Amino acid sequence: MKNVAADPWSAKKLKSRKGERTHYLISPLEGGRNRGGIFPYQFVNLSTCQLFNFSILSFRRFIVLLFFIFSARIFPADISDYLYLMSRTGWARYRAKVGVVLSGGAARGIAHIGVLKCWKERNLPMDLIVGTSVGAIVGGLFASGLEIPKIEKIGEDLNWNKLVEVKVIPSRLLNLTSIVSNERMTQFFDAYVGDRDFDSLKIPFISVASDLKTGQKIIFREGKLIPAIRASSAIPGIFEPVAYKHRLLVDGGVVDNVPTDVAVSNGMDVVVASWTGGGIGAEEPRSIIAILTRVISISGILLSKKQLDAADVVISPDLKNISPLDIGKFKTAEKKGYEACRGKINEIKKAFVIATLKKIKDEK
Amino acid sequence: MKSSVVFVLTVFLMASCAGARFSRRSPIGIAKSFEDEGKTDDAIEILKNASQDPREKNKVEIYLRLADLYEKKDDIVSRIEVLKKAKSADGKRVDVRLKLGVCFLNAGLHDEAEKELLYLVSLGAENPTLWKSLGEIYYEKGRLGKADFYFRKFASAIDDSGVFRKLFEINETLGNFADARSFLASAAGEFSDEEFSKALAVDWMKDGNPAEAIDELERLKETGEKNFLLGLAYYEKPDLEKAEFYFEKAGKAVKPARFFLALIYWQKKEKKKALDIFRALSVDEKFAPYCAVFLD
Repeated sequence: MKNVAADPWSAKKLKSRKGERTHYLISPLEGGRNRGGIFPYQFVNLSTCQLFNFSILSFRRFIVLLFFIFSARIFPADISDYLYLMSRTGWARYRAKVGVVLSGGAARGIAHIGVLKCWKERNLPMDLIVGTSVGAIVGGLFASGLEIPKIEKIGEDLNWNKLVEVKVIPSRLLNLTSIVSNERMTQFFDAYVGDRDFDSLKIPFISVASDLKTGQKIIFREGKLIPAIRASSAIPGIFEPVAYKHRLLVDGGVVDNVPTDVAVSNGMDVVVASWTGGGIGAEEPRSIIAILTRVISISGILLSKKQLDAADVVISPDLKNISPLDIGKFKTAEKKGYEACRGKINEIKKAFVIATLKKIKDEK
Repeated sequence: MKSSVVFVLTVFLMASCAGARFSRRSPIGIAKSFEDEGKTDDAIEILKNASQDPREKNKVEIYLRLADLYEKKDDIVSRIEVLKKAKSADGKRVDVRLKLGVCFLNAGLHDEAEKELLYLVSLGAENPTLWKSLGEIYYEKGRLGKADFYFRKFASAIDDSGVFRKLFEINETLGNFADARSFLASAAGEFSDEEFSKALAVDWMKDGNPAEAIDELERLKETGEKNFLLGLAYYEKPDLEKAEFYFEKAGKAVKPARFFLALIYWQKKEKKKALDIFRALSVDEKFAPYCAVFLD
């Protein structure tokens, strides 16, 4: 750079313009092409009164840049958008099936509502919902066709008093099967889901429970919806086990807190897990219920690692400040779920497109 | 007599004092005259001093005037500061909170803006600026459902092609393709004829109606992109023969067309030709993960 005052041609030009916003003048440099062909142009910064030369090499880059800007205008969408478009519309025969797996996590599972809200809003493909524990509750409500605002309203109005009725009688403490009775839970589901069968759901749905007698993972995909959801969300020691046929069922999270394998075995090509069981919270558990839920959370985290690895995409809302008992933090948990899902949209679309392309590739 | 003179003088004195008081120009008036003379800094100084005067009763108006002057000077930080002070002086003033919310939005402070403007919504305020600002906040935050809600409210009151354009984008993303087309038509002024036709055609394709897309695209002048989009529409139909024709016609420079051409070759079991294209495209990182499906 050199001071413009040293260059009479530029100084003359600058006088009248000094003080205005920054402008650059470009002028062909005398003999530029013959000076080794390096720079035929000279720039003047009208604010700082300085000159600088612009080499032909940079000029070429500038032209390349212009070309890219021009290209970007011509092709505003990239290949991912077009492939997603075709996967959603043109490739009906090959379209990959997408399963959404909603994990356990007690009150933290409210974040699933945010995940489903974002999912529905963005019109992402969904062919199956698999839920365990709170995931079964949220998934069941959604699959039964309840609109998100309605589910949000249910979540906002929720409190423990609505769900539980404490039945501890000190003299019979050791004979109790749970701390709270199930009456209210049943009433709650009756009010919102009614006497529905799995067959009548808008979106195919599967819930997972654990059999206390055999230790088996029990998969519900047919029959009445309420017993299935109730069994899947019966946190052991807190809610009463659910007697179903010859079985005694408790929370699915005991054996499988994020059943991605169920989605795969039911023909899903892409499995997206919404995982709200991660992180055990900073607060020290100070009640029986808090201790029990913490114990289940810890074992759930350990059990879930392999299952999460099997998912194509894992949505993990940041719930470190929400404990499994924080049922009142609905808005925060829902927002976290929404944001976490939004952050994974491109990944979900990509997984969906790739799975669809794989089906095209493998067509005989 | 003496006492009468004293009385009259006292009355005059009081009246003149009162007169002087009443005729004192307000700081806003003084600032205005400075502003008219182009002395914005002096006007600001007058208003700043007045705002610190404990006797001044009209502080909110002074802060609002200061905010306007800072807006003239493009000083958003000072503008926010004085609007915050105005809010502290009278938290019930809807106009103050609306201005503050919009200011936060312009400064990119979306959470603060949302909080301020939602407070007005909770008061039942109905104002297009409020709706547009909330729409902008949610649009920026990616909360498209809410952005759609507020932009629609705004659009029902005021025609703004920029907002219609955003409503088009939002509704395309949300999968409300018919609504998107309607907003696209309202935002026509934002697009060149060619861009408009392309956007409309892609919308038809997303809506699963390639025949309409083809009609729209055929009006366009001959370019690589037109041929690519026509190929895509025929591919969606599905008419592989015509799709292949247009993808080829689009030329080698149009990489998405090359990718789809390779897919057609693959589906026609001409795998060597397809793999050659996938291999060539796989060096581009945008295409690499999709090419890898066939190259693995």
